[in-house]
Amino acid sequence: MAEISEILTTLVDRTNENKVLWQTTTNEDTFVALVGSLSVMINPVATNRGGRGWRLEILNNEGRVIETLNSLTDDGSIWEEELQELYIKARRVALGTDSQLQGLLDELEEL
Amino acid sequence: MIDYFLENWGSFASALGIIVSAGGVAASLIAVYRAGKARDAASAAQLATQETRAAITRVLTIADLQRAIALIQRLKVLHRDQKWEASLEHYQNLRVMLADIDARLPALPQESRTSLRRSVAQIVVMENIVDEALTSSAEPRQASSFNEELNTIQVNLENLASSSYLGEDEANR
Repeated sequence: MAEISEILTTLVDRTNENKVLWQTTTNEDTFVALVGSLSVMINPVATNRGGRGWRLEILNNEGRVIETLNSLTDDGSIWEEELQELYIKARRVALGTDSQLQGLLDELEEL
Repeated sequence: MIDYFLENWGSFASALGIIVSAGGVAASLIAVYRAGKARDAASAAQLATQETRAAITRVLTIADLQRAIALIQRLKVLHRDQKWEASLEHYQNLRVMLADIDARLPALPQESRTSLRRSVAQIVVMENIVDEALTSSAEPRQASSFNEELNTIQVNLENLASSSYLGEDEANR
């Protein structure tokens, strides 16, 4: 049986290889990727004391959460770095940041 | 007569064997003919069953699409009126409807399937925003974009309904 932590590390790898298509959602801080019949969702979570963590959720075809990894919990805290890396990369893919920055650089070089 | 029979009983037995064999061959040919007819009938029945099943699937899918579109219309009104608690009750139904449509059409083009699954994920995000807002007694963030997103989902469903009405049934392909 696959563990959520194994899924996280594979997701980070595949995202870095640009093989996962992350998309924006109605919530500008939440990004989603469709993988087969499942969806993967990542978003920041805040603590009452102003701290910040990351939550990865796996949703089934009906949108029901079937697994969660939250860096604010004891179990998830050891994965904070990977979750943050995934969030940053997912955001860049969903917003098309890399191509837009390249476009900006091209424009600047032509000035 | 009896003597003649006793002397030639082997010939009589051979003749009888030939008659029995010929009868067996005839019976076999009839059996093969009947089996062929039965196979044709079975194939026809199987085809009719498949066509009926596809027609039922098509009708059910179109009904589901119409119900989903009606629910989206209802949600848009609730959003406009800022009736968030009432909205919250409908998101799950809409998600399940979309998942049912997805599951019912195994031959759905990948683009339409991706669109349906993306819609489910978008509704989950909407639901989470409303849920968090109600928990903290605040107005949902980015609520102004909810109906815009629902419009996109609705257009996709209407396109899907049109393709089911006009083209070959997806389940029949």
